[in-house]
Amino acid sequence: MKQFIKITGILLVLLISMSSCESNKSVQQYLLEKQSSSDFVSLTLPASLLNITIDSLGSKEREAVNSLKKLNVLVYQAPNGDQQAFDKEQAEINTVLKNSKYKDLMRAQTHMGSGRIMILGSEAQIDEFLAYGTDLKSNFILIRVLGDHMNPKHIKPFLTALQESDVNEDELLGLLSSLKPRKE
Amino acid sequence: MKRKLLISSMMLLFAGMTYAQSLFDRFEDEPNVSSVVVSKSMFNLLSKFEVVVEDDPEARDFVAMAKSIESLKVFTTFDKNVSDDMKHEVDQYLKQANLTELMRIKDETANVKFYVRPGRTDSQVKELLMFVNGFDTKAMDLDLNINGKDRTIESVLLSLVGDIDLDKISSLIAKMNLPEELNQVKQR
Repeated sequence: MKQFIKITGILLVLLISMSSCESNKSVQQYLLEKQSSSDFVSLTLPASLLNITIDSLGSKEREAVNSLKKLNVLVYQAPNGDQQAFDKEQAEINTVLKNSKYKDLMRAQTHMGSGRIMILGSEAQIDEFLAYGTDLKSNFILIRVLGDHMNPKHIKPFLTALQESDVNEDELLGLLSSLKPRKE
Repeated sequence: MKRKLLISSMMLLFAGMTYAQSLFDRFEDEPNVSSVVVSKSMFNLLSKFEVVVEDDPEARDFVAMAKSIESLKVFTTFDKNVSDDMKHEVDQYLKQANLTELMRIKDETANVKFYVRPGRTDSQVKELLMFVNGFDTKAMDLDLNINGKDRTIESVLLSLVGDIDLDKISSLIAKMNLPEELNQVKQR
């Protein structure tokens, strides 16, 4: 009898953990899944595309640049402004964000839209940075910055490094405009 | 015995859940409310982000205070009904929480009330609650036209929890773009 209870207990735990795995889609899984969807536009940039010349940088800036790895951008635009489709997608991303391991930094909401900023890791060493924004009508955007122990102390020097670097703006803009969803 | 443990742990969990769902959080889901919620992590991050300049007292004050802030919430509503609801909620909260009135200011533009949870000294408080209503936008010479509709702010609710130094609050207001009414705390 005891054996029986033990086994059912183990099975129950397994079942719960499996079902929770299924419903708790991670942000990574979500990004991968939506990248292949036609309603979404996605962009993945390696940090190296920012064209920052490492040699000309001080040690702090270099550390900041090196701690960056990748940038993911995912944009959703409801087909023909379909409110129902938008609501459904928004509900899904909200669930994914709610169940994620990310820590909320800030949430804001107005009649024009809402947004939130989240991080993974500690405040001193950020591993991932996530920003979500929506106009509450037909569009939303999810931005993820992947890094390796990004230190907030290095963010300021990094921004100066970025200003001094010759990021080819036209190239980036061209890339972005080519991503605009085709009008059907 | 085991069952007792289970029940008590369940109760603890529930208590934790209701506690985490703080009183004003439901206004975040209200469509007629604009809100900003800043977490402890963000303040922690900001305090690290800000490069401490020794000769800039405001930056130094900000870093010192940001480290000990637990949360900041600001709710603004343009809707009369929500505003009444908010006032009711504030009254309820004041009754059950151990907050004392710090000051009240009523002039031709608005009606501002401050409440605090007392801390170690007079200027050190654990919680600051500001509620502003009775706005007269005409007197303020504000023309709020949003989406073609004339809007008037009905009320603003601000809650700041943590170790707050009322004398240094101006650094926070400047850095975080908080409502200017907060500055009146210093004139108390």
